[in-house]
Amino acid sequence: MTKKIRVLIAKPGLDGHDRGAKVVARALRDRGFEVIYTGLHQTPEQIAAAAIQEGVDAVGLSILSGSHGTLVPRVVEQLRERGGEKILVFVGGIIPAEDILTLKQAGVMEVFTPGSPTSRIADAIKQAVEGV
Amino acid sequence: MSISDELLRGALQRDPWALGKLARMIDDGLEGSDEALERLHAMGGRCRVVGITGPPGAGKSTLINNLIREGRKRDQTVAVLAVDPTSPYSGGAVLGDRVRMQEHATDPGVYIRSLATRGHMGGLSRSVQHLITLLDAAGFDLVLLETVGVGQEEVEVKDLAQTTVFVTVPGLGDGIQAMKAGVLEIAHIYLVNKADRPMTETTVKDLESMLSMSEEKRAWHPSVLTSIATEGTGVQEVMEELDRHYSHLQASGGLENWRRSVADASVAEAIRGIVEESLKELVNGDNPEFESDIDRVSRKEEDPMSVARRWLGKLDFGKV
Repeated sequence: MTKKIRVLIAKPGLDGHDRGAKVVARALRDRGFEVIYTGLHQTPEQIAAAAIQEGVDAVGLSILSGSHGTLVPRVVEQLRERGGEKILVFVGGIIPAEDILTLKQAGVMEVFTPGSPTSRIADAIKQAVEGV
Repeated sequence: MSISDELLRGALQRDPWALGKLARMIDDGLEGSDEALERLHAMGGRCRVVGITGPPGAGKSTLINNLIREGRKRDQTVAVLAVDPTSPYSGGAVLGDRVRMQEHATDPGVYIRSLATRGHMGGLSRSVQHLITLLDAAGFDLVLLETVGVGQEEVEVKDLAQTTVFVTVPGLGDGIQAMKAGVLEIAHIYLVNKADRPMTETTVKDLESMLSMSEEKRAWHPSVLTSIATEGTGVQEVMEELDRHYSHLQASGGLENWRRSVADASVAEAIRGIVEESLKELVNGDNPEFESDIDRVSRKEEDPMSVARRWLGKLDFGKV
């Protein structure tokens, strides 16, 4: 039996636009992933705790508020603190090019900016989880 | 691979990481999960298992969010298994029950696990019974099972839960719908949620009239309650009714019956799983003898039942 990939999609912080997160959740579903959606206004602690309880392979963070610089590293840190250092973190949203490297250095697998085809997101996760 | 004692010990202390890891192994049927379950099955036997079922959008997850809060007020540890459907096309799923429960995410006394049906019929996933074993051994006081949004026939929850709550909303069908067989028969508590909407009274009356028509003399008379789960209204009453049903089970020997019914359902389900696995190998594998039998059936040289019986005799289930 091929192992199902489990991904948690979350929206940290205060912005209330979740269309992007939903589109990605739906696209990953259609690629055979099990996607846990946790909804809006999540704290890094809530996201990390949910990811650990759910035993996911990856966490996707959708951020449009511009506060990725503080929120993303905190999610990564919270995951590590809870034993989830192997869980991959990817980010989607409006992220200025100059911030992408910083986020990657903070432990983010990949950053997907508006216009990224969902197939590229799915492929990147699949490759990182299964190593193919 | 042998299951590590550390992982098991962590789970028994309700460490979320260990629970998440073990739940994943069990849900995916990974190596080591059988051994873990063998050890876990010998423990526990103490937790309360409550099933929450009802049509999509009735408010099951929101009710559960409130029940977690009530349970925590009483210092109970609470676990939730929330099931959503798997796509028959892609095999993927969006599991969204948790959205309503995230306020409890960081509470160390609460564990929430979302599950996909993965093709299993009956309103739950095949792994649910095993995950109850895990959560029971871990010492959770209360385990809440949320079924997929049900239609009429998803009744598996009745085998695994001690108490089943059927959540519905006003105006879904009339008295005739309420008379039909299936999921409406299995509950111990009926809850009309979103009770600030029109037709609440009619729906309550339809359900009550359905329940009063039962000829069979039952020791437990289900009641029909109302709630507005988004506001928390009526939840206290549900909790009290759950207690009342549990006391009834304790007094009437119902808990023994429940243990028996879980054992029965688990063994039957395990056998079904093994048979299905061997069947899958047969159908997927290139067994020329099997393929030629299929050809014979398609050419009407032999009937399906005779072929099936012959193959059942040939399959070596013990090896799986």
